[in-house]
Amino acid sequence: MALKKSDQIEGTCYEFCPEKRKKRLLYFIYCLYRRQRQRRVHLLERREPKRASSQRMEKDFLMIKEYSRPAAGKDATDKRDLRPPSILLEVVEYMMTDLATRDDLPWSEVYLFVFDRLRAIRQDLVIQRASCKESVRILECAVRFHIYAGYRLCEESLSKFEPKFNSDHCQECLKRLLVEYREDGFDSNNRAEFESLYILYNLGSFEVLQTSLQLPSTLRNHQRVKLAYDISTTFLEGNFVRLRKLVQQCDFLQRCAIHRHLPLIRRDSLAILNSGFYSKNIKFPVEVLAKWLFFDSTKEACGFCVLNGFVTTTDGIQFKREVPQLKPNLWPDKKSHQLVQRHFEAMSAPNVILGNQRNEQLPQR
Amino acid sequence: MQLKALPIMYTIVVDLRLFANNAELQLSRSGKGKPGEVLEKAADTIMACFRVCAADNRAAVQDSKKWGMLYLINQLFKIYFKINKMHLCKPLIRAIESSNLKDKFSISQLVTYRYYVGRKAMFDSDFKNAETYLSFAFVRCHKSCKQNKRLILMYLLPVKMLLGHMPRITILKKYDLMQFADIAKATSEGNLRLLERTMAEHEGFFIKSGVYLILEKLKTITYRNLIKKVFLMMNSHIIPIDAIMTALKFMGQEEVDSDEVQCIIANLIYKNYIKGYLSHQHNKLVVSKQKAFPPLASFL
Repeated sequence: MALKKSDQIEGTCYEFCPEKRKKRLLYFIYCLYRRQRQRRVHLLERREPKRASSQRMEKDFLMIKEYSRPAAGKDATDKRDLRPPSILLEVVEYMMTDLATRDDLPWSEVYLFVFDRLRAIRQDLVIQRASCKESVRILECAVRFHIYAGYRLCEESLSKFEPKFNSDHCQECLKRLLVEYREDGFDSNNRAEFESLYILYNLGSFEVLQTSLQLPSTLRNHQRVKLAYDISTTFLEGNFVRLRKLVQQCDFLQRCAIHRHLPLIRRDSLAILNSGFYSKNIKFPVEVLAKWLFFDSTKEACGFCVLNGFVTTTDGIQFKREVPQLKPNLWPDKKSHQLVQRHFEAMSAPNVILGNQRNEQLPQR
Repeated sequence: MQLKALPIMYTIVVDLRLFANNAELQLSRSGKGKPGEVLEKAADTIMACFRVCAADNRAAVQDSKKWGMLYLINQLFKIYFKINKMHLCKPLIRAIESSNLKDKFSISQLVTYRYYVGRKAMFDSDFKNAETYLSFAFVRCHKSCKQNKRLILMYLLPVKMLLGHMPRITILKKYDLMQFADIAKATSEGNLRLLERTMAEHEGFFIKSGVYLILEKLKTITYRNLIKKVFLMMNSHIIPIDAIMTALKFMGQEEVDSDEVQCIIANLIYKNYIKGYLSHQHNKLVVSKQKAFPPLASFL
């Protein structure tokens, strides 16, 4: 439904958190701290975490509006509660530079906090129907944040990190961002980066490839987009040896986006290898399998084969005549040194998420 | 009574769609509005008509408004395909397939319907069904509707080729679809170089009609035919990977190494294009003594 310009709501809250809510929150702390019940001010909202004082002043806190579900009877369109896009962008930049680097608490905590506040930011954007330079920049950061977190937290337990939830939000941000590029004409210099991430995040998706073919030819032939397109079709072809070669050209975030498909890539590849190299008298060398399927050690590769019902000995893996029942696709639960990790240390969260290292070449092996 | 009213609705609905089409064009020329917005509104209205028709359970079969369903669905298909919202077709297809009228609609309506359902099946990689639907549409489409037959062929050809049936030149000439001629030739000859060149040459045409990705899949058959040639030349059941690599490099695939060749062959064996097995240690392909390259129609 098209809405007139005059229907658009412009927020008038020029702080990170609306006054009304802040007051309520402060009141909450006042009561709750004493009672030692639910704490509604997050550790990350305290400016100086170490200073313990019974008389907390407002300036000790930098509170950021939390996400709250839209519910019946709640007026979400109160101007005083909505922050305009420029302020929202400031919040994002603040969170990514000052909070994402905090090491006084586990990063999964930081993630949950930033995720929640980002969600509130997106909500404010949607209510204001903002489609502007700032909203594009915010969505770009949100996508990078979710992809980065998806990799960094993949080894966490489900109670700390829910990969499906993260992925759903990432897809939502990606789609929204691409719509802003495509339909509202907000072309940032980063468009190729995100078109390529969209393809890789949805590796092997026919629909996504089909839409990527409809892109304007300058964009379609952009090195990043072309690379992503090639990787996705190579995956569809089952040519995992070539896939591995192409991945060497990817930058850090692209690798993170591929990493989430690793279980699927490995499962498909194992089924193909099993059919192609099956012979009663021949065993397949584990080292080769480890190399082809992005394993960091032969031990890890053996574990994977055993898990899928294959017998491995010192000479290699014995494949089977029949197509084995392979484990269904799961989320990756282990970081991969070969694919991502060796680049990870060189990256700092703010640089990755704010896109400062965008054009930097990755060290080649 | 009701059946008499249906043609009136048909006319109005077509007018509505064409009107929305034009509005869309004008808007995009002046740079206003979001693409697809007006067409979507038109689709909503047509959808309202469809609901009325589909819910008409009380009238006797011969008077039922249900007869209007397929015509409306075809109009909706046209819009959904145009604005790239093919997933919206699914409930409509289900409505027809579960209806007891599904084969009793007029032939002209059925041809249109199966053309779109066939195209959708093709994009969902369901090539067997795509072939059935598109073949029906092609055979039953009236011979005077040459343009429509050409449109159907544009999708039927890639599907047929994927299933191993190459088109005759005469039919390509007749329907002015010579863009496919070299694709078919390259595929059956195992000529990867020609395949890639032709794909690049007609890229615009193939992308616009939406068959580019499907045609890329012909690479698999092309690999199979090339390797078969190597096999015939070597005249042996044991083929060194290096021999196949040489052939691939000759065909313009300069970047392949023996690992990648093994991977390509493993895929062909996995998908039943070749019977045999690979030995990584000996860097050789051993093909079966009987029917090492089974005919495509036997397993596709």
